[in-house]
Amino acid sequence: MPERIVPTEDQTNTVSQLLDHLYRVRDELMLVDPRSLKPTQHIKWNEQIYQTGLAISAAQKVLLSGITQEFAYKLASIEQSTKDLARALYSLKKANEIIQAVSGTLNVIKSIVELLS
Amino acid sequence: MINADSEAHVRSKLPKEALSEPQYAPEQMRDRLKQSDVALIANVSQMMTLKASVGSIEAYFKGLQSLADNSQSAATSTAVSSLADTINGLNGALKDSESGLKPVISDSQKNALSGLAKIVADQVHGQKVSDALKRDAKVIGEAILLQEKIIEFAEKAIAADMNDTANRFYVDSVRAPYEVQEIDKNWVTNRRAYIRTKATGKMLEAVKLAKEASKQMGKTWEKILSGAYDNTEIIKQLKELDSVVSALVAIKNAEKPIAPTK
Repeated sequence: MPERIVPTEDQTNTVSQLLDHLYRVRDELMLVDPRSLKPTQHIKWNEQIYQTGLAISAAQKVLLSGITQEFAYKLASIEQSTKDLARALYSLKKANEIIQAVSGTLNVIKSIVELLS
Repeated sequence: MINADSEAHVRSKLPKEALSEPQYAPEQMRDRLKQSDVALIANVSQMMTLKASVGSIEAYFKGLQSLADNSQSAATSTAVSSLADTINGLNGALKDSESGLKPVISDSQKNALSGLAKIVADQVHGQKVSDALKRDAKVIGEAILLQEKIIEFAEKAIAADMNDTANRFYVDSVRAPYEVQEIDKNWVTNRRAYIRTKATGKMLEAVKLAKEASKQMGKTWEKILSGAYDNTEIIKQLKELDSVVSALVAIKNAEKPIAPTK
């Protein structure tokens, strides 16, 4: 199994709150009408939006990495469980196939006996 | 994620005057875009991995549903009944000279035998399902919790994207025309679309549905494992897993926000 390095719950909560805050910041920035801005204001606004976007991506990366690693840690077990289910289903069907095969073999014996008698 | 970031770039695109400044020279702009792209590529790649992980839970539940659906008891009963007939036929052939003898297995015995086979097969089937649940309880329970985390993440990202979209729509199609009093029937429609979108949160319906379905899935799983159901009821519950599997598909597909419609 891959090495497990995941953020603690406290760290995850802090980043999650930070991300919520950053979403709200971008939300507010989108309420600015670019037509109302002077060029210098527009440049500042552009920079704020750009930096907020980078910060959102960075926070998302931390959260996604945590979930991805936790999942990766469990993936092998989930896949094994799925294979075990298929095996269980196969064994149920197999039992009937065996009974049918026995029945088929007995039929062959019956035919041979009838031929000999 | 990608659209929200790109739309923000478009919205705030620099005025021509700024492009003559050294910090906004083409090479600098290329670096800016690259920095933004690298972060997005990493996150989209993680999301794709997570989609595959949700797919693995989906595959598990489909397998479980298939196991629950496939009771072999009727087939076993028929196979045993047919085996009894074959034994009698063989017996008849072997004792041909003594024809007129009663078959080794009488009709009533054959019926009893196939009935018993059905009961045993039922128990074996129930036991297989029960063993699978017992064995997988922990890992699937944890996977369901992780899946809820993904939905929570996606819900927030989609909500943020939709809020941004709605806000831009509001600025351009509702607030700006109102400020200069260029309002008409079209403005009425736009304003209604914006307010209804904000008030009902209608755009989030698909994600909310997936979230509720996932929570329900977690509750059902807990109930099954707490022993609140017997084998028959567990199998009945598992046969109704279609909604859970549909929810998993919805989670995988719930990515794109919908813009306010007029």
